[in-house]
Amino acid sequence: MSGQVVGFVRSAHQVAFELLPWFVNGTLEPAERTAVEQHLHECVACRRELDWLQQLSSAYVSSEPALDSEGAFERLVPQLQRQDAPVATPSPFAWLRSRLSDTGAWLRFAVAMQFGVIAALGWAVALRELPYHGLGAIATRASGSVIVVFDPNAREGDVRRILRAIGARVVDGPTTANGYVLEMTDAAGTTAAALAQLRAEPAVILAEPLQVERVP
Amino acid sequence: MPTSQEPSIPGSAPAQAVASTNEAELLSRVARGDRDAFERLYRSYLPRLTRFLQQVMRRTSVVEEAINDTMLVVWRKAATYSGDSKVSTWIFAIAYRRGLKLLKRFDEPVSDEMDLSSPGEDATESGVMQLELRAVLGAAMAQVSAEQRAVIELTYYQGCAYREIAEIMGCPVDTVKTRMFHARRRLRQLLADRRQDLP
Repeated sequence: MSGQVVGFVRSAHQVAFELLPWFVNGTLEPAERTAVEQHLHECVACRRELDWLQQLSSAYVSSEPALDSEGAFERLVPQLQRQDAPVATPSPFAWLRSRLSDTGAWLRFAVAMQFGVIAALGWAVALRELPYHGLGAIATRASGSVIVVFDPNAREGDVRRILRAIGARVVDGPTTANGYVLEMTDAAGTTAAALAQLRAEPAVILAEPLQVERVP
Repeated sequence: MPTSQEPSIPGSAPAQAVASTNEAELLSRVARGDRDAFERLYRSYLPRLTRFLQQVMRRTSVVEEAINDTMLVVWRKAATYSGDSKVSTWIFAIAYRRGLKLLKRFDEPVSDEMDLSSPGEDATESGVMQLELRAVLGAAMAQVSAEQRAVIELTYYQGCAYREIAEIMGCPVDTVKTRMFHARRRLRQLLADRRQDLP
């Protein structure tokens, strides 16, 4: 058994051949477009296919003009009148979202807001006085030093691997903002190093230190 | 060196389409129950939706019903538009689902994939003239599945990227590529067969 993996990696020809229709309609990403162009230089079969697809596209666009829909809106109006106004109340952020959605700024705004909420939460955790529990043993308090937010799509196995890699365990959470408070169990590691490692993980959305005052 | 042609998208010409930023604003007005905004959005999308649903459904008698079903959903659900996709993607996704739902009334098979036996004669090699190709294309399109027609229409007429088509059809991008691949082979075969039948 050679262990060679076959059948899963598609050749440059297969990739380019599949993308040709979108090369024709001009919607490929620049990198995809460049790759297809390079392949076309060296592949006669793809050049012939491209020629065929361009003919097909031209013929298709000019075929079967759309139906005459004159009066369609007027026929819809009675149904509108029977309908209530739109069912859902617009979100208070709808206007802001519509203004930001085309530029991707909404995502940046949302992440910034999330960061703010988590920072505030971290501050609240740092200031919180935990109640004393006398259960016959020496009372301990959660001594988390890092708050982390994982990607909602992260797998449990990934989370476990990340925690083991930095020598940490979860001592609190999930918070209302889906943050988890981590305690560093690896004496050799530092919080700064753990934070750097966490932030390098694709499954981690946010990792921030918690300045928890330790009880002597 | 072959070059790609500029997308020819009659339905989205500036004179007919509202710019995407304005569309989001229009939709937010629709969400507040603004009838004028709804009518503007409706008339802006009418040519594109008519063409799209006509091509996907191939049943002219219910195209208007599908359009008005679609726009009623837009009217009622405008406030649920999240802004994560373009307004056009959101509306076409609704239209696609409404179109497929109406097709079920006619027991039209909506599942992929069709018989893909032999690829047939090379349609390009024999130099198909555009008029000839146009003449047989309509009939050939009737013989591919509704999903394949949707991918062809969204690519060649509506000028969509394959990722946008995946959003509209609610499927992975690889499924879009596969449907297009099969549609290309099928159309090539059908067109070659039909050319032979022409006088």
